[in-house]
Amino acid sequence: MSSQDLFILVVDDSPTMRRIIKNTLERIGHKHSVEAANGKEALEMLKLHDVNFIITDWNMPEMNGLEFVTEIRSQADYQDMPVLMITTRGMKDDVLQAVQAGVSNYIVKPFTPETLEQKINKIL
Amino acid sequence: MGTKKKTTNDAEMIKKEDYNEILSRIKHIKSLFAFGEGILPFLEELFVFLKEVTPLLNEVSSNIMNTTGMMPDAAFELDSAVEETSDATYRIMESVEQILVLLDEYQEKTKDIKELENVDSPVDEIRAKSMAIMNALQFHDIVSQKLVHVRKVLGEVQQRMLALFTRVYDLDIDSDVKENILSTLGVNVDEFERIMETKIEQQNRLTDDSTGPRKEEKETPTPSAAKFDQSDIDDLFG
Repeated sequence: MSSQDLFILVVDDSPTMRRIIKNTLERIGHKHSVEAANGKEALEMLKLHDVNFIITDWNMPEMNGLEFVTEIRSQADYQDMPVLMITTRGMKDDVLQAVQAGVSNYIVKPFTPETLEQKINKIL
Repeated sequence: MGTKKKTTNDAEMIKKEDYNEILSRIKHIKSLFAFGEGILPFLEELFVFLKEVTPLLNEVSSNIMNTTGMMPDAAFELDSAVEETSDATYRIMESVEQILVLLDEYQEKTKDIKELENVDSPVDEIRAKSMAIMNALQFHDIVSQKLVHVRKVLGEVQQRMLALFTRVYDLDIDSDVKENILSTLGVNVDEFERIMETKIEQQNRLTDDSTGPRKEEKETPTPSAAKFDQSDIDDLFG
């Protein structure tokens, strides 16, 4: 799969962050993406779209990012789905918890377009 | 005969038991005196301490009461701050997106103009600067998450303080005694009753999603406070 063929699901409760991430993705060549405001909405989006890459926040209402990752990792269809977590949580235990839940990589906000591109390429 | 002897023995036994009881009580009283002797200086000190500290406590409690009353206002101020920065961020974002579209259109329109081939174009630089502005807008998300957390803590503290005052207020005791306790806590009873009347309304406002610009997030507790840099994270993921 070419990195340009990605269909990315952006999960963040902040509309501003979703726009920043989507704009940044477009600028680095990933034009196809959909959005969700929390883990629950994201699970619905996964059913509706042929998503092959997920970028998710951690702190969200309804279902947070950690619960969302844990949930999709428990489903056979999404066990190998690349998941990049972008969050303000930068403590060691946070990162370890995220790794345990099954994230493929982790970025602490604020991020730069370069970091985002680098992490996506690394995961792929 | 046998019965009389038995009665005498019983009386002796009772007497013995009585004596033992009296002796035990004397011992107990003696120990109480000994304890009293030991504790009296401490009690004296405690009374002096209470006498000195009571005005201070009254002042502090009064502040607590006032602060508790002011907490909903503070929460709304925080909401308002998040909302205002959210609006401002949205407007900045829109402008930046429009600039980026204009730059793309300009570049598209001018790509075939030969006269411009050797002219240094500022387009790429403007685009980079615009992207930098957009990325800087992440501050809004970071700050608003912190404000939402502060607001949540504020709400919890206010609830606990009101619960404490309410518990005293609901005590099944003489109303004068109750008023004394409440006033010792620095609570103006009339004022408190007024707060109690508006409490439900305030709590509704505090927990009402529509008043806050951002829904409360589900937080996962972090057991350790060890900070992890992005470089540490990069190392972890290899």
